[in-house]
Amino acid sequence: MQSQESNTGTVGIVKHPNSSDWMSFLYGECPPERRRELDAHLAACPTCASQVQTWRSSMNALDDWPLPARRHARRQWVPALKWAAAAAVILAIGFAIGRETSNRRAEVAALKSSLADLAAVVEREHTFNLSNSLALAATANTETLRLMSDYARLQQEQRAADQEVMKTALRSFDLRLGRVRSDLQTVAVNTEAGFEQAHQNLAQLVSYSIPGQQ
Amino acid sequence: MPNLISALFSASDEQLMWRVKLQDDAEAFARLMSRWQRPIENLCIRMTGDLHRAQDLAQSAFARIFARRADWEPTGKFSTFLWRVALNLCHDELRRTKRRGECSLDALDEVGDSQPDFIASEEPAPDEQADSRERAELVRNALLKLATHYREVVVLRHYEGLKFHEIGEVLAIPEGTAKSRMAEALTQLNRLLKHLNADKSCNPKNQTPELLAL
Repeated sequence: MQSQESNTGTVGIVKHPNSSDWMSFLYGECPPERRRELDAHLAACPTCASQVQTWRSSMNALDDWPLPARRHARRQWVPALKWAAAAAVILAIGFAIGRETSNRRAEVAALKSSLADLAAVVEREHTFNLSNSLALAATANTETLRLMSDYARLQQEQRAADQEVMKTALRSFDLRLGRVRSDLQTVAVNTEAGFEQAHQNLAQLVSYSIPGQQ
Repeated sequence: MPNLISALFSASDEQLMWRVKLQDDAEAFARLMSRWQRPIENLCIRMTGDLHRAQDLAQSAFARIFARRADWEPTGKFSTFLWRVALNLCHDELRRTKRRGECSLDALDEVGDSQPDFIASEEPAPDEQADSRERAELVRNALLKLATHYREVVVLRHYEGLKFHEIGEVLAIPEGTAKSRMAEALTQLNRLLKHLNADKSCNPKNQTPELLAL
């Protein structure tokens, strides 16, 4: 800060620029008009000229410490890498163009198509399985109903058949009962006729008297 | 022109960070890293003077930003946020180094002497190379002797090219304060370099003298 303070003041009626002004001047950051003013002051003011010379000397000295060059091996890689990158880009473009224009494009397209079909099949299978399960469940339900109705129908038919058999049996029994009754009547008639004959025979027999006894 | 075209068509830092925040977009984060890894490494090198430590710190800065991506608010520039995180890590590291009693300048000397990373990109003559390395050592030592709040302004303005108002945003200080700190830092550097140069000419083996209490 000593330099700034020692440099701030006036020479006659001219005010010395401060260190900030000179830094802008030395590093080319001041506007052209201000630069011309400072140039003019520098030419007229030995004190400021001396101070600026000191600073310029330090600035020049700083340039004596060059940036360290990196290892040669690393530096040689840079152009090689650039060429390698360029070659890679060209190869990639060529590969892309070749792939688009070659006969294999059709194969690739076919492969893609197959893949799409496969995906569709898988999707369809998935959907089908789901709907199939639902349908199966519905079918099973319908089947159950159908079986139950069949069973009911069969039961009905069985009952009807049983009734028919019973009717037939009853009819047969009635017929046989009628025939037995008829036979019994026949027997009874025959028996009655036999009894009457026996009665007559017995009456004749009784009417027969012994002749001597009269 | 290519930079302009790429800037027109590439996403801004803020857009990329937005993607990182909302979508955990690793690719967007990789692009941010490719843009900013080198500047952040450079900042850390200038602040700590150690290439390997700087690379670790830069990695930590990106890791911290990714870990706290949910906290990032797009109210300011991403780079401001990034500079601030990296500087905080540098401060922590410097405090740890101080607590451990390590001498960063010794570490720097070891690094500078032993590894080929700290060489200029162009290869000057051996004498010239030795001179430039010596100058670089002096400047680096002087810079690392600056108080941290001066050094960070020098690094951000002189080496990383931030405007003073941007430095003010990163450090949460007024722009004028950033400029006056810069002026003071350049003044102190001039003094430090004179002392280092004088000491070197008197005793070339002693490169880390006790300097002014700053």
